[in-house]
Amino acid sequence: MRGNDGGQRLSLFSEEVADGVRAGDPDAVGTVYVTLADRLLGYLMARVPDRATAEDLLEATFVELLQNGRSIRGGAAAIKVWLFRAAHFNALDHLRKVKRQAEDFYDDMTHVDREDPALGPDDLALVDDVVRQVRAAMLHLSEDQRQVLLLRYVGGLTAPEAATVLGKTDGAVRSLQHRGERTLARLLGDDGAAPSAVPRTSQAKGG
Amino acid sequence: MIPPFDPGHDPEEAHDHDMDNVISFHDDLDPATAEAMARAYHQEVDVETAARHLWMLHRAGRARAGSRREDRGGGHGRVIRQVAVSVLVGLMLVSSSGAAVAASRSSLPGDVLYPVKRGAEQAQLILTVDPRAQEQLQLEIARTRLDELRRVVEVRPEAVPRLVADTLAAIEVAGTASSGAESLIAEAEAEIADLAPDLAAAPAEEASSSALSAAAVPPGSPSPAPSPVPSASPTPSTTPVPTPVPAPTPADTPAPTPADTPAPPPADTPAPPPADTPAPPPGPSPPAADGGAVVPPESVTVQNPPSPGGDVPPITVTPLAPPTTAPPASAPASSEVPKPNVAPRTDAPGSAAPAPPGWGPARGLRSTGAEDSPKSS
Repeated sequence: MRGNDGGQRLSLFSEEVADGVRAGDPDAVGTVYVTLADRLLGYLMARVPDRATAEDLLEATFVELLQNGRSIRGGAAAIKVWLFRAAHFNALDHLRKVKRQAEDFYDDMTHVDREDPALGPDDLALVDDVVRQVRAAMLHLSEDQRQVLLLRYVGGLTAPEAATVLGKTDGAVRSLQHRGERTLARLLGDDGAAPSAVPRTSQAKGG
Repeated sequence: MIPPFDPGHDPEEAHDHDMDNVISFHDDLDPATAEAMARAYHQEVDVETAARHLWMLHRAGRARAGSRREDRGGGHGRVIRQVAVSVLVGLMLVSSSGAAVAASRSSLPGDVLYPVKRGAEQAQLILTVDPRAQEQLQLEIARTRLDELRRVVEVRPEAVPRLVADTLAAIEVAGTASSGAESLIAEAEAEIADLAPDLAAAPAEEASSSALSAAAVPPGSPSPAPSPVPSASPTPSTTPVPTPVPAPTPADTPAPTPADTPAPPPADTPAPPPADTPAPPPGPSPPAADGGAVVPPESVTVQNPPSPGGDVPPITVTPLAPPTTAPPASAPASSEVPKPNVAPRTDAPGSAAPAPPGWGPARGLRSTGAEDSPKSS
């Protein structure tokens, strides 16, 4: 959003780069990629089950930026919001598709469209308990709360930016954020709660 | 992934893409949550993936550009350039994190990874938009060259000539770009004179002679101002742009025994295009000096028949003497001004490669362009 009212520094990439993006210049998009890819990947990986998928969605999102950049109104901050919004919908599309496919094969695959705290084999080595607990606790939040927390903490968006991505008001985002934070803190502070969600997935994926 | 290269950005210019920064930027975030979220979800794009994605982006961009090529003429070269840039970006990414390129950081001319290092520099330059950051970067690059020069002298003397040229070129670019380059320039002069006295003279001569050629040198007049002097510690290009330079011994080889008389700068030249930095050719310079060319009196070490093998040290820098076409500067009889400046490439038919093959000149270094070295009439 353009709403980086004074106080916050949003020097992501220069406005010159933003102009390049609007002109469809791959160099400019590449610069944006270098700046934002990590955060977008973090966000996408929180949304879809595996890294490969997240990377594919990341790429698709940037190709969309290249193709549709001219439609973006605003500068660097607007481009950032646009990217997260695109990533958000790409993730949703993917999850719906996977779910649809899954339903063709299985009767019950309800867990497919949820953020899966389990990690692929590649990541297992890296996992520590805190990571597992946080991911598991996130599953106890409402979908909206989770979205807001991911956009704000992982994506690095401001509250107004997150509101734009999610199509909500500022106030709604702030209250979702606060409730999400409280719930998360409670779950993580309380040893009993978070681990309860862990066994299912970690064992399921263990093999 | 990798923090975008961030050469000398000042704080407000810094990219706020890592978690710490993000958190500090948004004061309405809860620190405990932030830490937990960062641990659970922080991801980095790995280098291969980034390279692949950037490549895809450029392919997509090229496809788009191709479909619209009719409307905008000349789009092709641009697209090609962009692809090259994407490769550079890939290199850059590699270079800021990969172990392989961490290694390239300390590479010297002649090393396998050296082109990677130079490529990464170019990519940085290309991707740095902020002019101040660019100046910084150019300064840094110049400093890097100088540093390489110090190290390479011992281990790989044969690479010195080219590197001296590169260093001077980089310094010149930095000098024109930013105002803070004086100290670096002074330092470079000292270094070059110190490390490679013989070479110091040469490039200086080149620079000077190029400057001179711009300045009015009375045609046919023996040597410009202080004719005799090849100068041991010539002040190579001191000032950023117009380099008033010491008397050139435009002649030939890197005079192994540079005369010691300091060369009084021949009237400082108006403003020689900053461009014409010397670019000595790699190889031994063509023995050139055409037959009768008498080079400034004492100065010259190697006279006309200097065969590279002779007393000429393996490091021949000055390509100054064009084989036959142009008489070396100060050639007595020759009708026109010696323009040994960027010398070799223009005049010497097959002689020197225009630019050192592997390593491109610094961007903005339009120096080597053919237009700068007026083909000696």
